[in-house]
Amino acid sequence: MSPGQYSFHIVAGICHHSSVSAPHLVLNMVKTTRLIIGIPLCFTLLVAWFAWSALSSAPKMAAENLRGAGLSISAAIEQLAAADSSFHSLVRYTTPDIAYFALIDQQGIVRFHTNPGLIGTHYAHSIQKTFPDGISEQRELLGTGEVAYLLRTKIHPNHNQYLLVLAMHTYRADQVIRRAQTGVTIVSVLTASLWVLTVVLFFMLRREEHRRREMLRREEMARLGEMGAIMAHEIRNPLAGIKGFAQLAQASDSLEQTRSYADIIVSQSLRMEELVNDLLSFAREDREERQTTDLAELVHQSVAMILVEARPANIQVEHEFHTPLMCRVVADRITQMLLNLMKNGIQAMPDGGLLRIGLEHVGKTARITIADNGIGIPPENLPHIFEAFWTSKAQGTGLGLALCRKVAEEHGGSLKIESAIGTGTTATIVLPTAF
Amino acid sequence: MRRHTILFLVVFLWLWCHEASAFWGSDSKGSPSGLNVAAGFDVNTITTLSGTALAPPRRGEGQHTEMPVATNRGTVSVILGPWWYWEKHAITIQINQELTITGSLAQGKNGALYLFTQRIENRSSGESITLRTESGAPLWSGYGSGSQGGGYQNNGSGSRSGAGNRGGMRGGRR
Repeated sequence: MSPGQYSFHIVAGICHHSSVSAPHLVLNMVKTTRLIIGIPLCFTLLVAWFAWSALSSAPKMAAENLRGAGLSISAAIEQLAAADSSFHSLVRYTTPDIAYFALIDQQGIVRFHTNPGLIGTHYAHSIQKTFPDGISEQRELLGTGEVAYLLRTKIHPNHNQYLLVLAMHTYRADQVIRRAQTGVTIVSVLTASLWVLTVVLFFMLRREEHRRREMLRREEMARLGEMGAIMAHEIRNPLAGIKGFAQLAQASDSLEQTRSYADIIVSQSLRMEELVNDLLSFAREDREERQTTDLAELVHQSVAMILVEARPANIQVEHEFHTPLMCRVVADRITQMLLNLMKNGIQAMPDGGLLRIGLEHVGKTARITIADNGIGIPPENLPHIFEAFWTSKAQGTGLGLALCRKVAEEHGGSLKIESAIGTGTTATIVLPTAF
Repeated sequence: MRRHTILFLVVFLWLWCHEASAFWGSDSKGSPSGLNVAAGFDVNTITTLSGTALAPPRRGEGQHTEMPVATNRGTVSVILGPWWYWEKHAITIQINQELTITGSLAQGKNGALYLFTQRIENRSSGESITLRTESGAPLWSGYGSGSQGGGYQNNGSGSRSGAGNRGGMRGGRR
């Protein structure tokens, strides 16, 4: 990895923490797109299935209606024919659905027709072929252009056999088809409207997403410039000191003086090393495997380590935690977070004071509190304390609290800071427990 | 991939809407009734209706003369042949005059009844006019008035068997 790549990796890590990343946005966009397309697609398929079933069943229902009506009329005609062998009574028989009907004898002679002019004529087809065994039905185009339902069946008035040819208007029976078509039309229009809205929504969202991505890119570029300036400043100061004292040591004849310069050079080098370490910690991805660890033990170790700094500063450290509390954590990261917060507490009490450490089990979480009675944080600084490179200290890197919050969130927890001027500051860490 | 999806959706919606729009009459063969107004006639459906003219004859669909008549079967649209023929041979028919009309009755796909007139008599004025032969051949198409010959079948389905000039029943399947 080249130095350029390395610095970009750090910057990317910091930017990743400060705002939503571009890949995350792309993933969100893909999910949103799937949702936007998926819901109307499911709706369309459902509606298509409904339309298909309605349209396919409607003609069958219409045919059944026509067959039922046709058979009823046939039965009525047979009864009238049986009652009056001259068929005169059939002249008066009519219903709105009948287009025409005729009775044909076995010789193919039309014995009755609703058009009296056709009575006595020959039937157009071979009577043997047109006498069906049961009923014969079909839709037929009449000379007027009307499509009528044509039913042929045998009737037996007074032991004579006749072929009944019955043509019926289909408008009433086809109402069920028209209703189905109306339903399909309405849902089609609704579905088309839904798709239009979906497409509009999709393009609006896509435009908004592009705008957000562009804003994010600009923010990242701005942050990169700002961070570069801060890093240059943080590195240049100790580097200038190192250079100056190295030049003095070079020119000095006194061994004592040279050692004193060397001490300063080492001190400045350590400051730079600390900055680099903080940066690496902050930019590091949470890829280490978490272990089930006793959090009380980690807090205890951290307290033991901080006592070395606390005692010379006349700071009393109180801690109260007895119960083992198991959490799945990366122990090094948690220890680093606790030490950072405890050091902050110590630095907030330049004239000595009390640092209280607490650990308790609350529901399914572990709550760690680190409270000092120091100078406190001014209210105007509170909104900025978690920002990377923001610091109120002369020698700080501005990464401490940002790193602490990152560690807490990496573990599925949170970090909260409460402070009041003259009263002190309390940091509360909440982490999920293992069990 | 996205282009294909959009294309598929457009085709799907077009086909669907095309199917659905059939209901609204966009697939009709040029007339709301769906009937063959120009040459439609079927001897099987010849009937005689009596009624009252609801309006004088006017130019209706397909440049044919049309007149609404109130009958015992409801309001029937009486088709009286081409407008130019009716203007030339017209009898006077005024609103509310009593009429007797013989013709081929059909129901349009809009549910209305249409009567393709063979002969019409104005009982109020005593005038009458024959527009078709007994077999249904239209006199305006060159068969000539008084000509009773020929087995004309109006839908062009061929000759009819049976009783010569009076025609017969049609058969066959669609």
